[in-house]
Amino acid sequence: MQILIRKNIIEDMSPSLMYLIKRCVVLFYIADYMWRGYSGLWVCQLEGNPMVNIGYNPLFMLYGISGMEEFIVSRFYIALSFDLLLLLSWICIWIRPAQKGWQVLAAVLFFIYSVISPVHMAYAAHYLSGMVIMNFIFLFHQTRTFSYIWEGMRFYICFVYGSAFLWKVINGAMWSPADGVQVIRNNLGQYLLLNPDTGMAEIYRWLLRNPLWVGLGTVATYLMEGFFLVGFFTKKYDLILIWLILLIHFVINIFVDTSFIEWYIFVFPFIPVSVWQRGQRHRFAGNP
Amino acid sequence: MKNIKQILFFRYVDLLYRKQKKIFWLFFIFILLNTGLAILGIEAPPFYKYAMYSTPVVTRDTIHIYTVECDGIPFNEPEYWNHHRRIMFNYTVEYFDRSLQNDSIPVDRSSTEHQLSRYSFSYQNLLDDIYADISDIRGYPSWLKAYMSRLLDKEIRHVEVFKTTAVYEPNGHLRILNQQLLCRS
Repeated sequence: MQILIRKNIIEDMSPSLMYLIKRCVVLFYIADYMWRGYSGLWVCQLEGNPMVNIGYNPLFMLYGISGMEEFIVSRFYIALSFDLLLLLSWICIWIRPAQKGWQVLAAVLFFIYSVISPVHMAYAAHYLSGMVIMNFIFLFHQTRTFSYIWEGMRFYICFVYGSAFLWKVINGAMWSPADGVQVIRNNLGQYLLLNPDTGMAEIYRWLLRNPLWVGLGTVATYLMEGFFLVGFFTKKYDLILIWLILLIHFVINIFVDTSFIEWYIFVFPFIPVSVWQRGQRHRFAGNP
Repeated sequence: MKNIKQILFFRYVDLLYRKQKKIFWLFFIFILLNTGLAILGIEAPPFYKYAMYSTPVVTRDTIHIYTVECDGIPFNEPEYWNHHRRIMFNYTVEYFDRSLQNDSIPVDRSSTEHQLSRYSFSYQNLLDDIYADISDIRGYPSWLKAYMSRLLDKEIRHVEVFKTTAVYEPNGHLRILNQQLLCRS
C-alpha cells in the first residue's frame, strides 16, 4: 500500500511516503533558517535586543515571564547553541525521518523561535505563521494520523486565504480599492527615497500616476485569496491554488515590499498525490 | 444531510469524526480557540487572525521614512532577497520613534496598562518585569550600532537614524519636507 484514498480524502499512506513529505518540508525549514541567518535574524544575531514588544499578547507575556529572554537571547553562546540545535534537529529529521525525538525537539524549538523573532523585532509580523502551522506535522508519526493531519493542513490553508478575503469583505478593504495606492506610497517610500533612479522606481511612479491599474491589481489579489474557498469543495483546482500562492506573495513582494516567501511552505499540501508517488523513486525518498 | 456529505470538507470532517476521534477534537478545539481569540481581538501563535490590510487604509499626503547611516553611508540593500535584512531595522525603529513620542515609555507597555486597568488585580509587577522600560528605549541606538555591525560584518564607529517627512508629487516623485536626526550612537 502506497496510499489509501477514499472519497478523495487521503486516509492512509505508506511510511516511506510520509518520510518523503517530511523530508521535503524539512528542507524548506533548513533553507529558510539559513536565509534568516544571512538576514541577521538568528537568535544569536539579535545582540540581546532589550527593546522587546510584548504587546497585549498572552503568549508573548508567557515568554516574558518564563525568563527565556534573559536565559537565551541575552547570552550569545546559549543563543548560538539554540540556533545550531534547531538546525541540527532539522538535519536529523532529514536523515532519519522515522525518529520521533528530533521531530518533537525541532517543533518545540521552532515554536519558541516563532515567539522570539516578533517580540525582539518589536512587531508581531506574520512572516512565520505558515511555518508555525506546518510545524505540527512533526508531532504526528503514525501514517494514518499523519494522513489526516496532512489533509487537514490543506483545508487550513484554504481557511487562511479564504478568511483573509472574507475579513477584507467584512472590514471594507474590498470596497476601497484605492487603498492599493496608499499602501504603495507607505511601503515603498524608503525604496523611492534611497533608489530614485532605478527602473523599478520608474515603474512604481508610473503606478502612482495610474491608480486605476493599482486598484484593479488590488482587487484581483483579493479575489485570488477568495478563490481558495473553492478548496473546501473540490481538489480539482489544486494546481491553480499552488500557482495562486506563488503569485499572491510574488505580487506582494514586488509591489508592497513585504516578502512572505516563507508562506510558500503552504504549497506542499496542494501537491497532488501522483507527484509524491513519482518522488518516491528518488534515492533519498523512503529510507527511514 | 446526505447532500452536505458530498462536499469535500464535510466528507473529511465526517471521516475524521468516525476514524480519528482524537484528531477531530484537537481540530475542533483549535478552531474554537482560533475563532474565540480572533473575536476577542487577541492574536497568539499559533492562533492567527488573517485580517491584515482588511480595513481601509487612511489616506495621507505626507509619509514618514526611516533610514539609517552607518559611518555616514546609508544602509541600502533594496534587493528582494535582502528583504529580511531590512526588517529588523524597519520595525524596531518605528517602535522606537512611537515610544519616543510617548515620553520614552514603550508604546506596548502603555497600551497594555490601559487594557489591564479594567481588571482589579495588581499588574504593575508584571509590567515592570517583562515589558521594556525607558532605559531600554534609550539603549536602542547603541544596540542598533552593535546589530548593524554584525549584520554588515564590519566594525561601525557610529550610526545615525533619520526620519524624513516627504510628500508625493502628482508625478509620483517624492518631495522632502524635512529630515530630522532621530538618534545617533
